Amino acid sequence: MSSVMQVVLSALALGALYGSVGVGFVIVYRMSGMVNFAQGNIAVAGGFGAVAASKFLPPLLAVLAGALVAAAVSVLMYFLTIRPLRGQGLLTQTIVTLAVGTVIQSVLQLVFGTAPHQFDPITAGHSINVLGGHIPIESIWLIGLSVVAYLALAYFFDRTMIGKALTACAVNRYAAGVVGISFGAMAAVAFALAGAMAGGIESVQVPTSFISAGDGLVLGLNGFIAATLGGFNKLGATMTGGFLVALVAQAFSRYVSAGQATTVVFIALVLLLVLRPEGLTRKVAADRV
Amino acid sequence: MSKVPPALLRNRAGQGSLGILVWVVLVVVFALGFDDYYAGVGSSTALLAMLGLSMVLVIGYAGQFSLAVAAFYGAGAYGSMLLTTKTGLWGLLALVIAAVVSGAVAFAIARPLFRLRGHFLAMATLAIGEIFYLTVNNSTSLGASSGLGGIQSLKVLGYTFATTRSQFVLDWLVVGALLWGALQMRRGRGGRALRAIRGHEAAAQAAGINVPMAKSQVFTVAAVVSSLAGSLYAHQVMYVDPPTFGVDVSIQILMLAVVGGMQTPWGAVVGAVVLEVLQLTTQKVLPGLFGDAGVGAGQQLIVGLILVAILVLRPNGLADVGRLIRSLLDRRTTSAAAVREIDADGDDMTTLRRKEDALPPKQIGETVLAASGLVKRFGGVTAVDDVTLELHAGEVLAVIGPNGAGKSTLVNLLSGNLVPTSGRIGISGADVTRLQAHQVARRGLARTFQTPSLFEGMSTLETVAVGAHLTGRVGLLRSSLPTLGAVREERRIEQEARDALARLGLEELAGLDAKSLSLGQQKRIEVARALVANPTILLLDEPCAGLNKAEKRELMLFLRAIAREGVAVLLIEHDMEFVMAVADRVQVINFGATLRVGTPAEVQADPAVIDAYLGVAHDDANTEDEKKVDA
Repeated sequence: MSSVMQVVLSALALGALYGSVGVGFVIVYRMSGMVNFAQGNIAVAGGFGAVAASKFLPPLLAVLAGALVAAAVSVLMYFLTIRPLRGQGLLTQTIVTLAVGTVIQSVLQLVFGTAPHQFDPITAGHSINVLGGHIPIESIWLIGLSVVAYLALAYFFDRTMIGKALTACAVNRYAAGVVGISFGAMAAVAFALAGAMAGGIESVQVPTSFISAGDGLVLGLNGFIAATLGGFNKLGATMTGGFLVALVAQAFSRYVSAGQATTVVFIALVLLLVLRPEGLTRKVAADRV
Repeated sequence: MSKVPPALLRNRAGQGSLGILVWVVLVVVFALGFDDYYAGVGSSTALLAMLGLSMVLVIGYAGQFSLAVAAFYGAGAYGSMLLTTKTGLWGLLALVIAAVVSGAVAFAIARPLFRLRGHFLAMATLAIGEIFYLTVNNSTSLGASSGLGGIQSLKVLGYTFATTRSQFVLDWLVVGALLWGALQMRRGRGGRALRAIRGHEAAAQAAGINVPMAKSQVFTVAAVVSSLAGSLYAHQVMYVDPPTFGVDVSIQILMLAVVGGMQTPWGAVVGAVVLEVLQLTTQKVLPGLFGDAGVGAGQQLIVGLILVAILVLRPNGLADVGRLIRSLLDRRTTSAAAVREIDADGDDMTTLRRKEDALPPKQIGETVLAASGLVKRFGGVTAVDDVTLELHAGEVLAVIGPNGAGKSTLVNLLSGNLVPTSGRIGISGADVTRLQAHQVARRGLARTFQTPSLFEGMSTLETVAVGAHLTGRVGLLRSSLPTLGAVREERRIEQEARDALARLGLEELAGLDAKSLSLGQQKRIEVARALVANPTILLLDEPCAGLNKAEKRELMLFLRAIAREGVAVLLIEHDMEFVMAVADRVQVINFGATLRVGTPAEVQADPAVIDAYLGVAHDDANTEDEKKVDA
């Protein structure tokens, strides 16, 4: 029982991270129809932003700095690379996001080296016992902040004017333009939100585990699976998807083989894409199959 | 053209053998000029070029965004390593076995994998690459993270490729052979089919191309090429470890192919050389900037930045510059001919039809296409609701109806591009309801699309030649290694494509980029592409859109003429003057269901049709009646 609980608790924390990266994928995809392959690297850039800020800021503010850094990187990426290529096909845009991912990773490696980094948790203290499983306080922060961020985003998209404008652009760029919504500005907002969400939550998890410059690819792949489970459309289903990915990985590594857990997750991704591209949603994903 | 081919052929063959000679001489000269260090660098450049070539085939030719290249590279390397060290197999045999296994695996996973498109295919193949890496990295029998060694230099017919110089020559000769094959493939029927898939999948399928099969084949060929590069790597470096075949290697190969240009196999060679030169330069410069530890990351950074810059500034890559210049020259010499206008004077279409009707009556043959009770629902919307129609050989049937009546959906159902929710479609008695578009095409049905669906980056002649796909038999391999028969077939297809173009008055446009032409010209190119397949059934979805009056008149006469030749023509059109002049029968559809079938005169007189669609004519009739009353 306690081992099951432990798996669930770890999966909740890890899943909050994957879900947040996945939400970043979804926001950008809904807006522009492209998958940002640099999403994982942007999150890691945010994490390193927090590492740097933690040298002279308390951890909570460092996390905020991490979110801002990731948002800035994301927006910068949009204006420097995606926007100039808006006339090109999705293939070119996707390749450029892969290249940007490489650039981000190598810059981080040059500045911070390949060694793992860490900073102090937001609140000090030992793990808490929940129904027989242990969970570090930092992980509670992680879960809590990701839920708050998710709720804020949901509120933003459903209730605020800018959020609705963003959704309008996503549904029909031309019609949105006709009623005076600037696509460029809205896309910048989308990239900023995607970066902030992924980078902020990645920063929260740095104190519990380490962060290194090369983490972007695997983080991005896991976030992508979460986004796929969310049908690349629904934020809530994406967060749930993140939890499911983490649950599979944690359970497999606990009960079968720790070394092969990541492999299994990626095999699951390929199967998921081929067999159920609409994820947890019921939307028919005609463009994927 | 038909009189020159032998000379042209000899010319092309002459150019080809000259090119091969130059390549061999250059390779030997470079090998003699390089010291061991540069020969080694040159060899690894050649391996990169091979991997780039395999990527050009899948992404550049077929337009399928696959990032699995490093996994097959690794499969070749580990395959050769294991087979030679564990079983003592000859290197060459091990290389072949590894390539066959890689190809077989690729073919097996291709079908489900290539149901995915775009980003999702990219992500799935990226995951496959990562799965390969993790599996090898976690497997102690494969040496895990420390890798494997113990392989000998490659020995072929008693000669051992032991020196870096001999390896340099071998690698670059292999690159040359692959490059030559890829260039031939691009020109032949197999490569044309791939490029058509990249350009417009539905149109490619409608031309009879078996799209899933073509994708699987090119993925298999690419896997074999990658595996070959891997085997050569193993024999030359004599040591294999997982990171060499990791996901970032795939991304690096993608980058070099993009830098060079994906549209031509030369791009892979150019990209590989550029990348290697960059790395050599940065290796000298970077330690001063970032310290020794920063070299790897610094290289990645610079290569990444250059890639981003090239993508933003020149999205088609460096090798494309030549093509750009050539296309500018082409435009200058042929644009005068291209604007040839059909004589705008002459009879109107109704008069033309009356003249045509005065000719000996044409034969209306048996039913070739029959649909009964066709229904198509999209979610809650019923686009086609219980439509039944019959099309006879030698007749022109026009399907008309208001916008949104379900006409285009009907054509898509008949051509196999969509599967009906219920109902039955038969071609010459055989049930084709569930067949896919390329299978329906095989039964003699050709079609055009409402919005011109031509292929990006293909000339008018090539575009039309795609339509002749089913008349040929040369596959991907014979396209790359043309036999005499393949050359002869290619010549015949080219001639037929030219004839079809001539029939539609487009022969001057043969060399131009089809997508750069006017809407009317594009529509007519589509008709030529459908015609070249020698169809028994021709479906035309709004062929008049974008045509001027003279062009419409020509098209009308053309359709009457091919109907006289026995082709069954079904068309959808909004231009009523055209419809009434061209059709033998008219079928009116409204809200997805048939309202009336009859001759043009009958349909024009039907009050229900007038209410639903031809409202204007009804008004005219009223005013005429009023005039009579007045008189």
